[in-house]
Amino acid sequence: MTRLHLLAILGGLLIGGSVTMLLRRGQLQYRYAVLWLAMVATTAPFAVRPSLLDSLASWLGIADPPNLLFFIGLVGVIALVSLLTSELSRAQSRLHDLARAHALLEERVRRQEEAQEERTSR
Amino acid sequence: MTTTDAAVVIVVPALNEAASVGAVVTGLREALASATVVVVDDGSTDLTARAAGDAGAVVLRHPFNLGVGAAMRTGMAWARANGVDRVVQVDGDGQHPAASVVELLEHLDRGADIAVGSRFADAAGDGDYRVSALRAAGMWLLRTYLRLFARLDLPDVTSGFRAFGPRALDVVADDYPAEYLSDTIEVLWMAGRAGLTVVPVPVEMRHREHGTPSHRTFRSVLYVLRVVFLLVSLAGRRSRTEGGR
Repeated sequence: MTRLHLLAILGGLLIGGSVTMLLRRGQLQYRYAVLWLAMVATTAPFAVRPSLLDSLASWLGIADPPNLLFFIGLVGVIALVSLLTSELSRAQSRLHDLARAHALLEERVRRQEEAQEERTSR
Repeated sequence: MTTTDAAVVIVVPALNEAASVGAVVTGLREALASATVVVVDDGSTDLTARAAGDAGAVVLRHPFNLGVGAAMRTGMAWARANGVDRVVQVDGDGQHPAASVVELLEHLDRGADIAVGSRFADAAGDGDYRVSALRAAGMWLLRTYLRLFARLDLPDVTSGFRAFGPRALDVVADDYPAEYLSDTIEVLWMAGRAGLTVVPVPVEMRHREHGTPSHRTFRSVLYVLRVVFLLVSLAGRRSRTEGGR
């Protein structure tokens, strides 16, 4: 077992551990945590057993095994980012709905308060 | 039911227009006494809301900037909640003449669902309204698109001076698009595809050009890109809705 090997395993554990911690503290929602953990789960076997990467790469016909790793990572990141942008759009449109509803409610409350003031002052 | 005594709500979307919005509200109330003027303060950081309120408008305040389309949606929601089914859209910067509101409403009375105050409808084409070639190309694209795919032949498709009748409100009030350009183009597209009658009404507008010439070129390029993007997304929506039927 080389030092690099150890480092890779440690890195995987660190990411998995911090995601779990964020989840437990309630700072990360379950559905996003699942994505991160899925990414860790797909890459972890390669950290534990680097030869796995070589055999998978040769089976897929990829000449340079590390490229497979980059490819997996890139796909994971793209998936995460596209999910985040669509979630952001949804959150944004909900925020806009709330803002509009707020504007209408505020006007209604103001009008009723004015009507009430008029009644009490009479 | 005639134009001057039937209920109508005039929605004025305003962003940092404290200097002009008061006069706009006063002008509108003088031009059409039966109308309720609703100013939608779209996240202004100046005293727009107070100026509008002092002039006698109902003020709806967005807590932050949402865009003209969102402001129209808020204003239309207010109108419908208060039992009014005719809405006129007027800019808060004073470029739309208050007296022409009555003209737009008269077209609704004659059966139109949407009346669009149009800068270019004037045959003489006077006034100093001039646009860059790029921007003109973008407008031509929009106009042609609406003519081909929404069966609407309108001279000024990006005008923000419009009157909406009851049927138009049914179609657009709850789904008024909020994105830039969509708030003018997509609404017409929705109306055309719903089979509504949209008529152009020649109106003299005071146009205000912003920015330096180089700034304008950059913005024109951006404008054309946005036009193309909007048309592509509308085309996508069209095939989707058609497929669903």
